[in-house]
Parts: sequence; structure tokens; C-alpha cells
Amino acid sequence: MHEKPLTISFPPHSFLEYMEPRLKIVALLWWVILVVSVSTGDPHQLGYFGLSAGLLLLLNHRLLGKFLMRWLPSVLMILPLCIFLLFLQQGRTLVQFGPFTITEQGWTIALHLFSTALLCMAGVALCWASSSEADLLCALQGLGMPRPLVAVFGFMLRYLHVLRPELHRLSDARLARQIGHHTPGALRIPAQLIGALFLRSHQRAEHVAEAMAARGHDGQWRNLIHYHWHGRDLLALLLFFSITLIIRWI
Amino acid sequence: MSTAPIDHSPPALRLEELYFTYPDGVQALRGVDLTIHKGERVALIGANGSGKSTLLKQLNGLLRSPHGRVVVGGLELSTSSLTEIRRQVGFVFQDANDQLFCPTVAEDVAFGPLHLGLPMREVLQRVRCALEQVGLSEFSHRVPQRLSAGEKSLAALATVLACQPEILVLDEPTATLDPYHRRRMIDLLRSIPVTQLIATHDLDLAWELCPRVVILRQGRIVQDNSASLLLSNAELLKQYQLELPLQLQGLASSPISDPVT
Repeated sequence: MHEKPLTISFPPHSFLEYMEPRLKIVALLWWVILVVSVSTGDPHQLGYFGLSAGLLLLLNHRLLGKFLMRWLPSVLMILPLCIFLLFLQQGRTLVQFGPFTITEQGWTIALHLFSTALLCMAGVALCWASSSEADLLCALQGLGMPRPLVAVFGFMLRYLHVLRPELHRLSDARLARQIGHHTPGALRIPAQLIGALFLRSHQRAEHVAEAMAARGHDGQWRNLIHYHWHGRDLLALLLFFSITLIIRWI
Repeated sequence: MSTAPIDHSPPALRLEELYFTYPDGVQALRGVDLTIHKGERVALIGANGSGKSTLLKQLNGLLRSPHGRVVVGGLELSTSSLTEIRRQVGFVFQDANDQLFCPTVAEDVAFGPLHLGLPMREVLQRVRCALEQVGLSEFSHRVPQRLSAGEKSLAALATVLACQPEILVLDEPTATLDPYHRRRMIDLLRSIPVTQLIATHDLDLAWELCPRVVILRQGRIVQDNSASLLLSNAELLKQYQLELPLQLQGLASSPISDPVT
């Protein structure tokens, strides 16, 4: 009888999911270095990098939902910082809103920073969307990252998992008691929710850490899936290196 | 007159003069002495806040007491023996959500054996066996967070069974279960031939499963006797904010039967 394998956590849908996680992390580092090395006055190059990221995503279109879930929050985090930067630079005035001035220099720097950060985060999100977290942690460990750092990453990821269900529970409890429309003091509620969420998820994360310790977790990440480097992985990596190098030095 | 053979092996579990105070000053344990022999199944009962969960967490070093001793299978709990003691004592948490943190059920069940340093073939074998034992063989690829409460409890038990512990410590194993899953859990626990310490408010479970009952009150063991003696004494139970098991109150449809001996 054919026995269902236990070692595949999810059926891979795209070639990125089949790739060895360690190679994906190497490719991600390469991507970040190249993107960050683009000079401020060269927006076209960032555009080409954006196009190549889009193409990669198109080839792995099944990951789109997972990718967006991981990428879009980073947009929300980066945007306010870039808006702030718009007004900080001196130079030729582009637009003026009362006492606030957007200069040409400010616009260029903010746009560059925004695009660079988005491209780097796109790489991270694509890597994260195509691998399970346990794989990524084992891959980081396999690449020689110090154990405490891997543990910190691991607990950060666990914390994210803990945060979402706690947020759902708290929102449900709030909605269940919220009769009618918003009251004048309604703005206070989300603030209280965030405080409670932090405490609750911290407590939950401690319980999870206890459960891990009870089953022998010693800070080292071990995984059910053991990946091996295949020829096709190396070929894909070489192809990726070549394309990104051509874009960078075009 | 024939006598039972003398068992010279050390008890499965021995607690001596165990005290524990939380950082906020709450004194949860006040001198607990308890000995559990190999193969025994003991129910730990008591009102909320009596120290049951704190006591259980001492058994595999999740909480460490500066006063008193915890000895598991002849091995005293210390920093150097922690790994071995955690291998011997399997802890099933009250909330299965705390215990299930991997992307799939199979990975969760494999977590313990992988951390025991077992070879991959053995790990996979144990995962299959544990899932089969709890009846979740078909759930290996499922996301734990999307299981029902009953399935989660069984999966949580499988994560511990895969480590093949010599002592099974369970904190409220039937607290969130419907009657069907509760029955499955009880039958399952009955079929597992290892020493068990079960903290529970479900006195029917204690009556059905455990020949010995320990009552904890304000961090002290106030009663330690046979289930038939303690759980049938309404006055005594009331004294410790407990009630007779439903079976003994005549509320259950099934006829009253003696506890398992």
C-alpha cells in the first residue's frame, strides 16, 4: 500500500517552494546587497529590479496571496517614514503646503528609500512565502548563523503566530459587547485592545515556550524535512545571480 | 500466607518538602510530599488556585523550586539532569493551543522525538505510531490551529506520546472536550501503560481512571487515599470545595460501578 509521506508539510505549488531553503536565503542576501547598492540617482535600475521581482512572482503566481500578506504590512510601515523624509531635505522647492515644503532632493531621497525598502521586503516576503518557518530557521542554522540569533528569529516568528489568534479573540470579545454604533469614547477602545493584546500574546508566547522546553527544546531548531542541494537548485541560483548582475551593471 | 514481591526499584516520582512562591509573592506550594510508584495512575484534585498546575510544572523543571526535592525514577531534578527528566516526564498542557505550534500536526508530533536526537527513521516511526494511537493518522498534514478542540487535545497527547515518556503528567485533559472526545480521551489514557498523574476537576474521570486520589488545598496535600474512599465521601469533598462525581450522585444514566482498581 502506498503510504502517505509525513515529511511534506504542504504540497509545493511553485518552483520556489521546491528550492532548497539555504539557497533561497543566499539568493535573498545577494538580492538585498544589489538593491541597496543602487545609487540614489538611478531610479531606472530599481525599476528593472522591480520588474524582475514581478516576473519571479508571476512564475510563482500561486504564492501571490501569501506574498501579499507578508509584503503589504511592510509597505504600511515604510510609508510613514518616507513621507516624513519628504519634508526634511533642503533644496529646490517642488510643492509647498503652508509651512511644509517638499523639495526635489527630499522627493528623490524618499522615493529611492521607499523603492529600495519595498524591493528588499519583496525579496524577504517571497522567501518567507515559499518556505515554512521551520525550514527557514533550519536553513539559517545550516548557514552558520549563531544559535542565539536563530532562536530570536524563531521566537519572533512564533510570536507572530500567537499574536493573530489573540487579536481575533480580543476583537470578538469586544464586538460581542459592542451594541449599536460607535460611542464618543470609541477611539479609546483600539488603544486598550493593543495593550491587552500585548499582554495576552506575551503570556501565550510564554506558555508556548514552556511547551517547547517540556519537549526538550534546547535552542537548536530541528526539522522533519531534510533538504539536500540538487543540481537544479544550483542552476536556478546561478541563473538568478546572472540576471540580477546584468540588471545591476547594465 | 503469600506476600507480594517487594519492589526494590525507586518510585517513579518522589517529591520531598516542595515549596514554591511566584515572583509576585503568591505561595503556591507549601511543603508537598508525594510518592508515586511505577504504573500507578493518580488523580490530583483540588479547587482553583490550590496549586495543581504549579505542582505539575515542577515535575519536569518548567518551574524550579529552591526548597525541596523532585526525584524522577531515582534521578534528582537539577540543571544537569533536566534533559533526561524531560525525556522521562511527558507533560500535556491544559490548553492544547499552547502545545501545538508547528505548521502541521506531523511536525508538532515530531518536535519532541527530533529534540531527543533520534534518527529520522525512528522519528517518523514514532510520529506514525503516536498519531495512530490517538486515532489521528489522517490528520498528519492538517494545520493544528484548524482542528476542533477535541482533535487538538488528542494531537497534544500524541506530541507527548511520541517521546515515549515513562511518566505522563496531564493538566485537565478533559476540560474543553465534548462527551465523545472526553470518552475517547479516557479510554486512551486507560490504554496507556505508564505512570500517570492527572490534575483534573472532572471527578468522574478520576473515579473511572484513578485508583488513588490526592487532594491539594492551598499548596498542601490534605488527603491522599484510594478513590473509592475519598470520592464517595460527600462531606469530605465539600470541605475542599469539591462535589461527588456525577456517577455517584445518581445523575448519570449509567449504573454506578466501582472505580478501576
